[in-house]
Amino acid sequence: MIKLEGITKRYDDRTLAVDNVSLEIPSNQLTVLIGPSGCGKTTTLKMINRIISPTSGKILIDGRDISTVDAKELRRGIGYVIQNIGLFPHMTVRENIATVPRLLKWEKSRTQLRLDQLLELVGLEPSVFSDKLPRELSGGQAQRVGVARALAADPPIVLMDEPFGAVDPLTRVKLQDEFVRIQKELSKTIVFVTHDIDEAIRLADRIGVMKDGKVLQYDSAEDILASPKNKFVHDFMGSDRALKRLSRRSVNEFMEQSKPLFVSKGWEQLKEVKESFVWAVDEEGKLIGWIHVSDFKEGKHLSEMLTELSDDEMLSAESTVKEALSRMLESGTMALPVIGKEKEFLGQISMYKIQEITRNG
Amino acid sequence: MKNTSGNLSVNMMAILGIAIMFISPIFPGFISVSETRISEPIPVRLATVSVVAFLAIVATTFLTLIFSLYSRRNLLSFLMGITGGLLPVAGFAVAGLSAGRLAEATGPFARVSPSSGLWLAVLAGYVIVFAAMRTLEDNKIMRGLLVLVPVVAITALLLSGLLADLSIMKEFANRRERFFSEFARHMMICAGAVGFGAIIGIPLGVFSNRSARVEKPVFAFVNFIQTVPGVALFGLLVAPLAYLSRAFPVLRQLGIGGIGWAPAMIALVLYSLLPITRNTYASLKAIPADTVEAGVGMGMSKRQVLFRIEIPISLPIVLAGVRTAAIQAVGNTAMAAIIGAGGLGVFIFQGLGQAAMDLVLLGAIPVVLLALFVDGLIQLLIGIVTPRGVLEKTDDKT
Repeated sequence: MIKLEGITKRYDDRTLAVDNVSLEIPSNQLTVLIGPSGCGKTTTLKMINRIISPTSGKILIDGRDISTVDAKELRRGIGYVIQNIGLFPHMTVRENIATVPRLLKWEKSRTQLRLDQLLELVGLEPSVFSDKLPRELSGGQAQRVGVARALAADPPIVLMDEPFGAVDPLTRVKLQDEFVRIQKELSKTIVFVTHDIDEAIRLADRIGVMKDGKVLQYDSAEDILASPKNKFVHDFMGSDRALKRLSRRSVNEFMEQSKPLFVSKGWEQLKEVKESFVWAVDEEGKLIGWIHVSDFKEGKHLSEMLTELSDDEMLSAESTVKEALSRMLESGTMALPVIGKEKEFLGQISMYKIQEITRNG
Repeated sequence: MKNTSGNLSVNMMAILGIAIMFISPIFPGFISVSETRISEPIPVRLATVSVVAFLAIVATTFLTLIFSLYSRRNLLSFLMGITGGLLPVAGFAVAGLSAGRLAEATGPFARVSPSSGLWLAVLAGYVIVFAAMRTLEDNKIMRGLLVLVPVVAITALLLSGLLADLSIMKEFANRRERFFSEFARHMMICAGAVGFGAIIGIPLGVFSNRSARVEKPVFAFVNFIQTVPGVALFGLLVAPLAYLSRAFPVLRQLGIGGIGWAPAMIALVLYSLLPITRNTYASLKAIPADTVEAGVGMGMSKRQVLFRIEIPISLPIVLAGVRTAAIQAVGNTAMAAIIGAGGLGVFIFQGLGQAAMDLVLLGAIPVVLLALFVDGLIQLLIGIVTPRGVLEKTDDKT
């Protein structure tokens, strides 16, 4: 755990960058510091690895006051990714990533093994990228190398200062998704600075909203969206807060069970259906479409009544509720089926249920 | 990236050089013979001197032509430059070997000198080496070798005694001791000028980078110095130094006066400042701030940041400035003989006074060789210290 106790930073020209900030940043979670430019978020971040020293206050990592630790030792144990990546232009990808292992005097073979591992982790083929130079990389690739470099010595803590700020929006979303996957795998304690609220919501476990050197609200991402403490936080989260909240919820939390109809079997199954329609599956349980109960006429085979579904009208269990809502609006339906990896029917999510979520939080 | 396929390509500059190289052996005069040191020279064709040499030189020129057609490949371009650069050296060797025979046939005071054909070969060699260097833009080591190989070859030839029967070497033989002492003096003045230039210029560049208040006057001054013609600057320093040495006898005892090495050294140091200061300044600007912050943030010490980040990125650019300053100093030192500083310029001015071209060449040729040698050596050094990632042109930052 990283604990900030009454941290204040006043620069020589008397500007107050950070004003008496106290925070408890939990281990193995991703905490985002967000706010408009000049709010003190980057200054706060840089005090954690002592790039900037606080005017007053204390920072403790796992109970140890960092001002009592040698700055170099401290930094070698904390991964650091900065805004413009700052790859060393005269070193290859391999040499860049090996920076901290080299400072820590790792054995060559150990470093080598780690390098290949890391490149694969960030999705770069080692045989292709090891010997490239930073100027031969695209923005997205350079960003991945930056992340790999920060993770090189497997530090428990990683500080990231707008790491995806300099890439195009498409690449940014892709990097964010991969980063979520990496964090799921590694569970590092990450402090992440950004001014992009969508990025914060996509990545954060906890969010600290800062303004004028103060932390206005520090809560879990869900709580901040559900109940912003004041007008600034409210406005900063945007007018589509409800949608943003839905983007953090996954469909399988709110899925309703329902019994599907086997098209290959007899029409008697329809007697048990209470709704006006029913999802239809083939003999293997794979979803193929749906059937309107009122279309039923005696002697008609079930397959004649079937309305087939396109892939866009099926949701996977990992989809967000926001995605589900968007698909419903697009297809003009009040409910959509949820399927597993093999297209097997799992359940459904309805507009009614979504409204319930937004009402109750 | 260079196209490394084996496609034929026409390197116009190389073709020009090779064309001149073809003309040189068939030119009416490859070398010339005169009855005395100052009488009218008679031209002699290469084929008349030695048919074997004629054929060998033409054949090697053909080989160079073939290399030039594949000059998109680095190695073949390099070979083209090497053969092109060694051809005139071979020409001198032929001239030297045959000089004794030719002189004997002409008379007791006969002098044998290189003539238009051989000088054309030198020009052609220059052009071909330059053409090769252009295609090897990002390989400083090969570039350095292209200059060094012919320079070392010709120097070895001069020192071997094979050319002893050439007129210029007779001038050399007559002034052997004087030559070496002036050569040493020339080197010392150059090394001193560039050395002090670096000692003053590098800190000036560093401080200019730190503060705009320093940068403006510093660059105004060094740029101004560069616009003053060499001879004028030497002249301008004569009066104040003469006054100082009269006023302070201590200075006179140290050899500092209106003429001599002191004004020359001061002027040459001033000239060295611009390239060194400017490149140091540019080299520090080339270090991205993020890069340094990343280094510090990952736990590098100040020393590690300096030696692993700052110096590797900036050193090649600083050295490029030193290279410019050094080449410039070699040439300007020759001018400094005018105010009694000594050096190889002494022979040039003496020779001009006596209308003895061989004496002029005795001064001029070593100056040219020295400049080329310094150029090649520093390029080689830059090639060795430049990390692969810093291949941006480190040449001149103007």
